[in-house]
Amino acid sequence: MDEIATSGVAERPANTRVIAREAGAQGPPKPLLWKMMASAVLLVAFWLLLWEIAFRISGKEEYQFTPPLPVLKTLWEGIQDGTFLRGVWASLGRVLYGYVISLGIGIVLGMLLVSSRFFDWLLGPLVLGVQSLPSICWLPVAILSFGLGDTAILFVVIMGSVGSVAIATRDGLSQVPITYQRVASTFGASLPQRLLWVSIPAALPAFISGLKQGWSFSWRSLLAGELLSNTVGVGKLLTEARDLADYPKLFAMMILVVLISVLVDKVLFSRLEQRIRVRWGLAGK
Amino acid sequence: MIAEVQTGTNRTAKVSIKGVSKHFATGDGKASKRFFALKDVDLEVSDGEFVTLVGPSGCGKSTLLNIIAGFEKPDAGDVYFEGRPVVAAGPDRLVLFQDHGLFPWLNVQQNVEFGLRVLGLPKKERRERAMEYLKMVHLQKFRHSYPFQLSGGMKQRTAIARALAVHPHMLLMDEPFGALDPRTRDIMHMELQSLWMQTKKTIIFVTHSVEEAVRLADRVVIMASQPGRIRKILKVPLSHPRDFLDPSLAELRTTILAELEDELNKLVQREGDEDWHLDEKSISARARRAPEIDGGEGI
Repeated sequence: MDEIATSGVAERPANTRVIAREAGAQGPPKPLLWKMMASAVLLVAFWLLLWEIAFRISGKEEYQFTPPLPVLKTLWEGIQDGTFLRGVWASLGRVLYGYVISLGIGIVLGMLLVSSRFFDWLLGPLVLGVQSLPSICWLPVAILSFGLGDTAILFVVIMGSVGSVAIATRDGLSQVPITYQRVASTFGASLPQRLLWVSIPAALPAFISGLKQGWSFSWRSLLAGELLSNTVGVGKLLTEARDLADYPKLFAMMILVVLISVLVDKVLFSRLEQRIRVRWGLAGK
Repeated sequence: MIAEVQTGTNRTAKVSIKGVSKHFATGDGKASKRFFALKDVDLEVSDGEFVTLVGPSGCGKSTLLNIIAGFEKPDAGDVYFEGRPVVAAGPDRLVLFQDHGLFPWLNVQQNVEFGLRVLGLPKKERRERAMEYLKMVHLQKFRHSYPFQLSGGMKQRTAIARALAVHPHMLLMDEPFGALDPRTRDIMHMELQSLWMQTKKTIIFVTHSVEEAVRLADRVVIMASQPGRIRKILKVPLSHPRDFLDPSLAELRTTILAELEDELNKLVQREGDEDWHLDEKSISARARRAPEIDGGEGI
């Protein structure tokens, strides 16, 4: 009975190199690149084949139900002659513009929410409401106020993501572990030092998750908004294809949208998130 | 309730605690009761002294440390540090935590430089001082590693270097080795002893391990619970550096464990059914059989 209350937490072995290697190799081991490529190609080929078979069995005409080949052909041609890329470029520019504004507003709003109980009481429910509202509901208001153009879409994009960013900022900053706060206190850190050197970095993992969610809301809001407007972009390309009953173009555009979404979400944000989680010692928990 | 107070030497008091009480309300509404984490605690710690606070959970040892640190305010009584009342936390009384509190986004060297950055030291000086203290805790080679790459012992050594780098007047250590395995803990005890001998810092060290308490301290403050208070203060009459296998340490440990025996009964009453009783004879027998119970001394 020497230990009056054992904490029971065992320590890891003291060889850093081994530990470093373990930590670096968190999750399942990485498969070889060519294996990944081969499996991806195989998967795509399988579904395309199934699509083609479905078309043949259905006995429909091409204008009623498109087979995969014309879709791929349209996709290739659209990329080559630049019409698709111009649209995508315009849309991406628009969403980025809106997202950056929403980051600015959302971060300030989130900091206000953490800074005082009064602001949390005043603005908290409002922010939560904005975040819960599907952003497309803002479109009628936006069209009435700004007309059917870029400004209306921008407005919808901002309203779609600002709530997520604000809430992520608030949650990140308000969940700074007590030990970090006490370390800051015992070293005598001033308020700005505490915020810059302790609270903000500590909030980063939660914040990045919010940024990712905000991005995906922005992107969805943008496409919804563009479908109803007449400015150059992915939405307009889709509307045009609908007006001409051009199935191959519709599907080609959809594939393009999926590619962009996956690229930004999985490649950009998820990697950043994973890196931060490993560094912050949160991975694998 | 102080059975036997032995003050330190006649050196000036670094910390003096006078009649400190701290209570918390348990339950709510009319059923709420006042629970005394600390009641009428008096303690003086001299300059350069190593004092350990030992006791069962709920005896208020961490609360007392937090009050000296300035994290918490007492409900009654006063705490003076170097003759001035404690109002807030600060780098003169640096605190070390069980979960080390290293910042995971900074590498070892940047962590050690944190306090120096707060003080506004120029880059070159920060670097030099960080290296000096990293050398002291034998971690120079790992200065570019991040906390997630370190073992528990290495993290605590980094935290110690970070603390010493700001030249604090004293260290307040809150079960810093509580999460380490017995072997690493032995190493840390030797390290801390040598650092203390080199730097002559005043240290107040909170622990639940009686063995740890007697190994390190000049004086062991034995605390009791319900209400949290000082039960007895014992001097450890051995000089530093110590042989941790010295039989007089084992003897002291047995004395303290016997002193704390009825605390076990209190714990049992608090945390179990009414018909749960401990066979006191067997506990004292175990206490008297001494060293090999704790894995820390297994040879």
